[in-house]
Amino acid sequence: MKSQTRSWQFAGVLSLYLLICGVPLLAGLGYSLGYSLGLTGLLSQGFTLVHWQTLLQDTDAWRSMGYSLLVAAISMALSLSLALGVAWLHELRSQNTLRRWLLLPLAFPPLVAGFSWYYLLSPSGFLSRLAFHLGWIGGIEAFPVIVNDFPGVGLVLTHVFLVFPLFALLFMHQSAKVRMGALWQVAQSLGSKRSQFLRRVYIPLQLRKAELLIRLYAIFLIGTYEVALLLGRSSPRVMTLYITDKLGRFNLADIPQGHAMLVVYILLAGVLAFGGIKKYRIL
Amino acid sequence: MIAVMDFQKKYGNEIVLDGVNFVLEKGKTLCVTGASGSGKSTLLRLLAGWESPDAGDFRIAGKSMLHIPPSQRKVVYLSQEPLLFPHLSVAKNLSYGLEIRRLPGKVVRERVGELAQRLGLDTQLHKMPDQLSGGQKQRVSFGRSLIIEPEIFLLDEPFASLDHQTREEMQVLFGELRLTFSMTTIFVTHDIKEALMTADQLATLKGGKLTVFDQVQDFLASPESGARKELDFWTRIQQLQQHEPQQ
Repeated sequence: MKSQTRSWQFAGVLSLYLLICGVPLLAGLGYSLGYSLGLTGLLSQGFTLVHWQTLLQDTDAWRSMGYSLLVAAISMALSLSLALGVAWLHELRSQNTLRRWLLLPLAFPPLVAGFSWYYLLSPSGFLSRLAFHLGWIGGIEAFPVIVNDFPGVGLVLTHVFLVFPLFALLFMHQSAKVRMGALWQVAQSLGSKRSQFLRRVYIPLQLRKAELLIRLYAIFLIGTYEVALLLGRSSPRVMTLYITDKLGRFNLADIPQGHAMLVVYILLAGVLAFGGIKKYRIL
Repeated sequence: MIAVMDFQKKYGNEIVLDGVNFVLEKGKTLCVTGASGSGKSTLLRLLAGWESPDAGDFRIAGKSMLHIPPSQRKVVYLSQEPLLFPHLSVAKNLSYGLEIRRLPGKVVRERVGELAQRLGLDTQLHKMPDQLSGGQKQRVSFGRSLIIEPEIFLLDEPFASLDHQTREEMQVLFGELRLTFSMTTIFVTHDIKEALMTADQLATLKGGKLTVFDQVQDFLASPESGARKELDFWTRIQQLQQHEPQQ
């Protein structure tokens, strides 16, 4: 009787999950796929691959994708490195005030964080004015361009600001859970230097335990919109901006390409989220 | 030979170790008994190099270890928790000490294979730590330490978290290993029976003072060791068992 009730409860929760998370996603994917194949939409004339061919030949589309992946990869690499470093320092000298300060950036919505960094880093922003008042630069034009720039410095910094505290807190929690301090002592007594321990135990252990969240945050950064809108470039622009540009344009012939790119993004997200999922192991 | 001379350690105003002295011959086992909080673990932590004594010296073969970092002391610490590296397989846990010394892969594989066979772990090498039983984990922990051939083993109640049967198996295994590998060991326990089974030399830590006993009889007779009380308890149990059938 109990097991039957549990089965019903499980089926209920699963149905609710699919209704909230699965159905809209699949419906959106189906609609975009249909649109990109000419099966639906204002200019629909039946099945065609012409929109996909146009997308494949559009260098701007692939530059957008490459740019998104690059910005996300750099942002994740910096965020994870910083988070690993902070969590390691916390392991060596436990400080609760550090934890509290790390919670602060998590309270910022991406749009607010984007504005904050824009006003900090833009040519007319705080740092530029400070540099001018300190006499380091002669005018705001001398301040280095770090917003809306090609390397995406402002964009990456904002991403790091938004992402690294979460991973730092996660790594601290994981450290406590696996008793990293005790493992470090064991490794020392086996003759391990700090660098060897970090390379062979601390970093791989932390990253493997956080693998799923790292994948999800990479997807989150590839799909960034508001921050990229404020701090990114217009060409090449990130994937989401490319998609919204295409979907929101007056030229109706561009819309199917936007949908095709959306399908590419969802597939990419799927590969990042579920690729090699058999390797997942709860440590 | 290792020698600990006049070790002293205070935490605030509390004196934990007050002039601890002992000498241990190579290949021998010193068992240190004492109540919880008597400073047994502190003594091991000082020897491992994780903490520094306020005064005194610790020498291995005449060389002071005090200014040598823990990673270079060749002193291995094993606690009651095996503390295996959870993301590494049994084989990788065993080979950790050799790999960080950059030994050739072939040598590492051979030595891991030999040791695994001796410890009864040869069929478990591919497994992850969370797939092992408590006793198997402790075997891996022993193996991981043995493979680097340390000067001293510091065992801090290593079998305390095991069930009765596994504990006895591990005590027997430890007895075999210490003879085979000629292990120099400081074994901390509050289990008098375990101390008697494993020790070449017995000592008790009480009030920060370490009393080393030359003879087992002295240890058994000493009120400080607590052995007298335990023996009385078992004698009483025996007497009760003898009387039971007559009632």
